[in-house]
Amino acid sequence: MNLVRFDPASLDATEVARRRHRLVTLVLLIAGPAVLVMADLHRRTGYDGWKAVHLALFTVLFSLIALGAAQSLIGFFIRRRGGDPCRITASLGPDDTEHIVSARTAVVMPICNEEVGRVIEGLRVMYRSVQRTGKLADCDFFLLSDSTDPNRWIEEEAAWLALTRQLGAEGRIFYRKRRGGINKKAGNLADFCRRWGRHYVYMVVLDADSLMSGDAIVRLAQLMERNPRVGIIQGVPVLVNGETILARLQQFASRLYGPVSAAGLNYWQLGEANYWGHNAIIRLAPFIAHCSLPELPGEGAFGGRIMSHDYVEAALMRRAGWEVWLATDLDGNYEECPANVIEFAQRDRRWLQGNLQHARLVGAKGFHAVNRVHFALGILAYVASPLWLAFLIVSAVIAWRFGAPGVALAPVESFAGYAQWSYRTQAVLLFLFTFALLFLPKLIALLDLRARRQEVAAFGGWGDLVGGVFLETLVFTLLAPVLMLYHTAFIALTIARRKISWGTQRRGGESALGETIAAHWAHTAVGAVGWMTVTRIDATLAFWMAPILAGLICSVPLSYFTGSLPLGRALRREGLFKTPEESRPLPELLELAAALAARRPGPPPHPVLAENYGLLQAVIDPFVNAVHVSLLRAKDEQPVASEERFVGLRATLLREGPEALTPRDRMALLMDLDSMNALHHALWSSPAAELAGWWRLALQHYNVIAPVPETAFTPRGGEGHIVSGPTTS
Amino acid sequence: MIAVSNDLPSADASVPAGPDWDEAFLRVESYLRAHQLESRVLLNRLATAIIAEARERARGNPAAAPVALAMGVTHERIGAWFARAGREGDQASERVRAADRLALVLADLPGRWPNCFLAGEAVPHEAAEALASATREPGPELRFSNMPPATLEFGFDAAGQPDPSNRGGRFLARAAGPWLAVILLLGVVWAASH
Repeated sequence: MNLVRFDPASLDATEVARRRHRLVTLVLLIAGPAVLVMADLHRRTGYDGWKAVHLALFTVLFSLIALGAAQSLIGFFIRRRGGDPCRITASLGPDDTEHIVSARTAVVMPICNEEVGRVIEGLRVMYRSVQRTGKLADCDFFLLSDSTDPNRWIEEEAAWLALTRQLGAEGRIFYRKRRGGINKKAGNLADFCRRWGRHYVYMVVLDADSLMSGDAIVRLAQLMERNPRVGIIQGVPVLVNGETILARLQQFASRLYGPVSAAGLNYWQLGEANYWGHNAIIRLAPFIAHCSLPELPGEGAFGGRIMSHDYVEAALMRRAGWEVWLATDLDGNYEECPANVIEFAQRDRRWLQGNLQHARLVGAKGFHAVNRVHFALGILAYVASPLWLAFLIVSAVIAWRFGAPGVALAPVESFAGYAQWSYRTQAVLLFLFTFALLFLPKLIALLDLRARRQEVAAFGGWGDLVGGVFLETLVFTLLAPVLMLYHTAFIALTIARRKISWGTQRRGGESALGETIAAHWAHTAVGAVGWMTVTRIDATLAFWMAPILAGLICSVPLSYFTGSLPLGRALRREGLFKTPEESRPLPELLELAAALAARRPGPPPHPVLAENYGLLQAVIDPFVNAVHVSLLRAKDEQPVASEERFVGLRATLLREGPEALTPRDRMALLMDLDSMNALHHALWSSPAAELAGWWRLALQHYNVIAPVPETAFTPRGGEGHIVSGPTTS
Repeated sequence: MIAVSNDLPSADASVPAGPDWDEAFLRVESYLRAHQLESRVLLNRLATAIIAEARERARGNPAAAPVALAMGVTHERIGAWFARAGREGDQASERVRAADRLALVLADLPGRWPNCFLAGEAVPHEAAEALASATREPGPELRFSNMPPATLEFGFDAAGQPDPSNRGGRFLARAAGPWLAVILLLGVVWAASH
């Protein structure tokens, strides 16, 4: 363990440059020979346009693989030496945690239509955890809602108030709902900064599924205090709480391979690291001064509002002279992950759109070169998919042309005779080298664990670890071509400015068979056509492409079963894909699990009422209505035209029910304080005959008269006596 | 626990019957129940008393709907109770009524003093204090910051020269040497073997 405290301010620029040179040189040393062998392979049969394209694609794709492998290799050696001395967490000495007084910190959680129970319980756990550190007085918590679903909105308000009451956290946990969701999450945070940013020195940004221990939050604030030139510290969250097979696979893989990879990232990024949008701490003053996102010139997929804000904010912070660091070994820092392939793809669609837009920023003036690299790598992470697809197609075309009548192997030896390889041997060697490099990070992660016996035990022992790696590799190998086609389609749709429709996902993330088939039938068809094509071209080519095509052909069952909750839970009971967070969970994880298990949702609302249940509660319930209107902005005077519009909308709502209004009109009413007051009064004071059947049914929820028991003497139909009027069907 | 007062009027002949008044009775009872009054006895007595008073008013205003009259009386009684609890404000204002209801929630009156709300006797001192101090902060005091959008410039300077403040260029220049050496080495290997 290195006991010398690291001071980022004293970091030598030469050392920074040396590290980056080493990484790129290592990538060149790995990728260069492979490109050379591929170039020689093509030379043996004579170059043409197809082979030139093939070689270019191979060079780009192999370099990306080499970069991952190089990072892992570096991370491995760094960790073997006891960790990187140049890491931001090493800037705190053992005594500093006691001496450094944390400054005012806002813990902010932007939310948008997320499951309210999980959000509230996560916040409760974090609040209590900070309370246990004794630093609660330094922290305020904010739920920053951009929810567009009225049901979610009303549920959030009630849940927030209940939480503050239960925790005695009035004036400590705040809730704010934006009237318009301009600029999405970045706009949500910017709105917070504009209103309240000056109250705080730091802002810890969370996602709806984030969980951070109080120690982690306090430690981040202390790290900022210690390092006044640092603008952002990004934690590396550990994936937790996965229940489906896919979620468990992701958290197992990220937990196993993540630390080595993160150490490799920190090795070259240092003070020019990236911001991932959550589980990070931000110094508010420079963030407010320099990181408000501008609009990109032009229209289309690459213009307009910046969709993926985090990379850009990191680049802007760095451009203003503030450092951005990655805290690779911050304990108590968690997030959750998509539960099934469709959710995974949906998330990728959002990220992909944002990352593609960064193409405009790679060449923008003033950014640090490393930030340009972040932009480029973010783009390549998705553009690699169509490149891989093109590579496969070009490979098939070359094989077809190679087998065509009249084309023969040119009598050229490999490397002009220096290497005695047959054409096939050379191709297989190249293929094996590529695969070895792909799997090198996995092997390195296992090697890294050799010196960490406790960690191995926490993964369930070597047997479970190796078995887990094998299965994880198998599943992700099969899923990779599915994601490749998804990404390719997303890029095409983004450039064409087209939207994609997704089926509604079930709660809890479990896949539904119908939706799975709808999402993957095209992949299956592509796989089947691909298989028929390559078997006609060449049996050997079909053999090598079998894993890719098998993944596509089996995409429906693969997606369905990896998204299965019962199967995921069964695997957990068997101890497969176990992670240290499951073997020895921190109190915060246990608390969250217990709180979520203890939540007993009330009976579901009547199906007729369910769609507008939030509106129902906000209008009818005296308490929900009171809380809701207390959170609306009071306007002293309403323009006459606006008031007349609201009078009309209110009358329509009561007489014809919510379906008679557009969602936009319903939201307008929900946002108007006087309308919500008036609706509450008018609803309760109106005879049933003047109300829509929908409202009469809603009022029955508050009746104390139960229906007459149905007996032989009950009139036909068995209706109970009237309550507040006839019910709707 | 607050005992239900016995001075509430009991059901008598002045209480009207009929579908309209049944509906009004049920509406009042439901509204009070929505305030989490769960005592059936108290609910029944309150609703009976409110309907009786509404009936009196109906004599002077026969065109008014019984539901509207009964709910009017209900709001008046709720307002009078809040006034007894020490809360001020014009009870005719919907905003004041909403603020009073919010105070009930924040003070957790239904949980801590069940059957206290609208009971005939004086409001317990602790409950009145809890209602008086029941305020909700929507957020810290607003302290607005100006957050101007960052400027982005694309391409090179007008003179066609790279921006000297762009450290990326210097970094790339420094890096080019060893990388070119590796590429050169690979080139030499290729040239020597072909």
